[in-house]
Amino acid sequence: MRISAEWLGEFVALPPLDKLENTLLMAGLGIESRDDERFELEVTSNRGDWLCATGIAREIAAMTEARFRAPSPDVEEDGPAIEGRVSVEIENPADCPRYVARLVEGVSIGPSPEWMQGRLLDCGVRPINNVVDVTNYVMLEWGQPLHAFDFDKIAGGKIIVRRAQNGEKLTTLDENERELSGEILTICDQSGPIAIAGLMGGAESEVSASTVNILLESAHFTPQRVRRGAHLLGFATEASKRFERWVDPNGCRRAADRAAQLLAQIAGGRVAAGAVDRYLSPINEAIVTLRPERCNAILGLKIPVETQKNLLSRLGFKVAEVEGNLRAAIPTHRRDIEREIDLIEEIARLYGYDRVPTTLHAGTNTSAGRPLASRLEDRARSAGLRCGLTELSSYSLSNQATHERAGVDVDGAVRLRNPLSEDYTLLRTSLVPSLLEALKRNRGRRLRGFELGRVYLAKGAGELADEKRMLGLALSDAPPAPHWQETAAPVDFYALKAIVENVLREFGAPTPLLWPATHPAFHPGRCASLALGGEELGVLGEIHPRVAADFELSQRAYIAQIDFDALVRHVSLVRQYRPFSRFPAIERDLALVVPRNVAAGTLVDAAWRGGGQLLESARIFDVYQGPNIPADAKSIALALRFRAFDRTLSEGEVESAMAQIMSEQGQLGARLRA
Amino acid sequence: MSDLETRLQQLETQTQSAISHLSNSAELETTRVAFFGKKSDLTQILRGMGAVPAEERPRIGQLVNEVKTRLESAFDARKTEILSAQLDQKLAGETIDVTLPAPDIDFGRRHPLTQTLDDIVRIFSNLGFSVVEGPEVESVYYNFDALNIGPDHPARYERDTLYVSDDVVLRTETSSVQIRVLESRQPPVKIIAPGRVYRREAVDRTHGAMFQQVEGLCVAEGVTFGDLKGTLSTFLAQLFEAAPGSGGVQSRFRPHFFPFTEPSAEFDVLFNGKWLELGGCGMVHPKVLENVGVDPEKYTGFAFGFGIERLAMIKFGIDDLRLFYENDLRFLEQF
Repeated sequence: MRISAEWLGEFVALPPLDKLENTLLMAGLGIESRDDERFELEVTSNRGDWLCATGIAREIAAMTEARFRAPSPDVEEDGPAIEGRVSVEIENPADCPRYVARLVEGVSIGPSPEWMQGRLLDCGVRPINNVVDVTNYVMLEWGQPLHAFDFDKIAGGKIIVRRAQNGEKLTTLDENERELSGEILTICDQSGPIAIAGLMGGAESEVSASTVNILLESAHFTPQRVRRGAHLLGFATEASKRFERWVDPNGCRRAADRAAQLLAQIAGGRVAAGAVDRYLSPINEAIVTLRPERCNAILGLKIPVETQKNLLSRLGFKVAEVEGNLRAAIPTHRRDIEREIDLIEEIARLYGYDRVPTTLHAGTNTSAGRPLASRLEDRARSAGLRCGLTELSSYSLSNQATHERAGVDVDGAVRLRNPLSEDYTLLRTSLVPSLLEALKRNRGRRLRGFELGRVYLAKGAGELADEKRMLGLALSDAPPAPHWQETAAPVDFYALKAIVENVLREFGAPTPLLWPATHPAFHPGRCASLALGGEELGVLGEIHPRVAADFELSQRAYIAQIDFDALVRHVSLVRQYRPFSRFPAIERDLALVVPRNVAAGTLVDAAWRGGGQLLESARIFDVYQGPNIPADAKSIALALRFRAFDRTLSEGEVESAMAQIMSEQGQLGARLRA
Repeated sequence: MSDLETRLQQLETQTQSAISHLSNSAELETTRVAFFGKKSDLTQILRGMGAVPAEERPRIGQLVNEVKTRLESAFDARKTEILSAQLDQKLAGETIDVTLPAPDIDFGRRHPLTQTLDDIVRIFSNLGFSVVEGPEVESVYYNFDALNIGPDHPARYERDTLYVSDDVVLRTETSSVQIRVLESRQPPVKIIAPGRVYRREAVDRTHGAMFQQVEGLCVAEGVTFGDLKGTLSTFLAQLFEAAPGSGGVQSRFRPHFFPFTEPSAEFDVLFNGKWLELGGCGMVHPKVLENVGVDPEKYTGFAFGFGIERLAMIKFGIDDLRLFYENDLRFLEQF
């Protein structure tokens, strides 16, 4: 439903627009969009009464406790009486409880005035001519769909509301020939159907440029009948949308009068005295009883009876207190109020959903379950498992000898005063001894494992220990069992590095650059430390052969230890999707000769620095030392891929990026390989 | 000092010097024999012990053994030094460039929708809800009638719902599961029903013919609209705790209409300064409770429902619903 604040303001004093927006929202009128004064509102299927300006204004009045003012139309009836010239016959009042007809004669067809056209356009309705515009205007004002017939085309001045006969046909004013059936309600004259009730008029009786006399129809067709017709015929109209959602049967006469008044005013018609008003089965106000304590029980509030009564009264319900309960008479434009729960919802709406305090049902605990820290541990375990590792679990009790053999410091260890055995005299200060023991236990087997556990460091006297969570990884290079296919990937430093990088990536940490490091447990040329944001995170490498021998390992072994608490300080669990480009990539290989001591990783970094936004990936695919390369140098080949998100890259763009990259590489002492 | 003692002294000095000049493992083997073998000077001296007067023998014997022990330990120490230096030299030659890239290894990922659903299930489990499932090919009764969606309701039209036959549809909500649960057991009931639902809808960036929903239901004595607000606010706060710009998640409840709840509401979350609509909720309509044989005077309850895709889209900043079902690795590998 599109409506402008300008029109609403005719019926109620409006709050400022931003406040109005909130008022509408909290009444239950969703705001699809807003263009300054013009709102596009989402009207739920239970509130047909909101499909018009007065309906929305009435709601605003109830919400803001303002006065709703909508004067009754004042029709000057200066034409001869309708009596005797128009008759209305209703076959079945269950399909059409009420039908009001009014006659306006001597109109001159032309455009409607600008103010009316403006309001129609605000509502998204195209102006056609003054007569059609008046019917639309009144529908938008009061929610009552109207139809204007060219009175002179109605045979015998007789309106018959009846079901169509199977096979009857009618060409509607959109020039479609519709085949009707017994489920469809029609408006007929003596010669046959002239309109489909509540849906669309026929082309034959349509108002045209030569029309002089207008028969106005303002009726109540039952929702089911109109819905059925719309469904069977496969189309809907602004009118049928309203009838399907209930049109106030007690507003038919008012709408007819309002239309007659406007026709007289803007189309120069004379309104025939009186109306034909066939109201065969009158629809009365529903009486619904509310138990105030029930209302409070459902809402979780303690609203006094008097307040509840006032809230309902603001909606125009006539409310009386009867033996502690509230009896409400519901105006007929609110067909959705049928039972107690409906009144409870009205009270909640007017009281304000936002004012209902948030509570939890008995026994519910918002802090139940595992804390984030524990869930992060699971995430680390999952990452380990997904790399093909098995979870290990070792004693946290150990001894000095084992630590020393593993090259691990025990100075800061927490020592026991009364150890039961020599094996368990202190708490481990590192996972490395535990992992070495696990490797020893699995000598000759291909161990790939991880342990997530604590290490313990003594603090000052009288203080408890510093307990840190560590993630340890262990790989052994035992030969795989023979298999007819060659499947085993090599186990080496880089295999371990790949796992470490995946674990870090799982925590949203950037890929860290590794730097050579030394550690007594590790091979001096195959050990690296990793750091994030300036914080030391851990160490990884190949186990020193001397340590390996001390643990009786028969194969090379690889271990990493990551400070999990430190890692968690750098995690970002936020994943933001990055759309991928649909444009082709351009690939370039770059073969460089660099001094031997230049770390390969710095070449990749240099490529990223030089490549900028356009560089999608940079990978090292070859490392070579030997003939044709100076003895103190090595050759490294990079595969570079460029791609733009929004276009196909030109050669020129790639060439200039390549030049930038080469300039960065030059700073490292690299030159192109001849 | 006897000759023997002098010879012993000289031998020790010479041998110590020779040991200290050893420089590789090959020399170690040959000199070991020369120093300590059967023909070595030391062995000769030991053999010559017979010539030593009997009263001197214990003293000289001890002396010889002491020299032998000293020399052996000096030899072993030197051997260790040499081997260690050799190892260090060998290891130095094995030095690798640790900055070279690691190989690509397989690292399986959970689908972003599964990740989102896992979060949802975890939070509601903590709030005391259990997870139930039901059929996706569902009877019209459970999908519509039992939910107070009458025969004339537009949702039932073939235009919106996928029918298998007059009585069987692809479920349009997982609320049907809740009805099945309420029929089979009396309150208290606290459940969530996640699963796929179907609509007769053209597929675009924000709509799908199939999507996933979570519907929740809590029916017990004394359940209030305030409890509904509290439960969903808690859920949203916990779900978006790690999301960017969430800094204290704000939620909002607006009146709305659903046939199966009353009062009904839609709930929104304030995300990056914008209110985003997430789903619908409300107090279970007394008629729905009556339909399943639960006394609405004794028990009250709330129900809610929302799309998992929608939550995942907000959480991960995804702009196109179709991505979830295209199985494009460039998408899946980002989560």
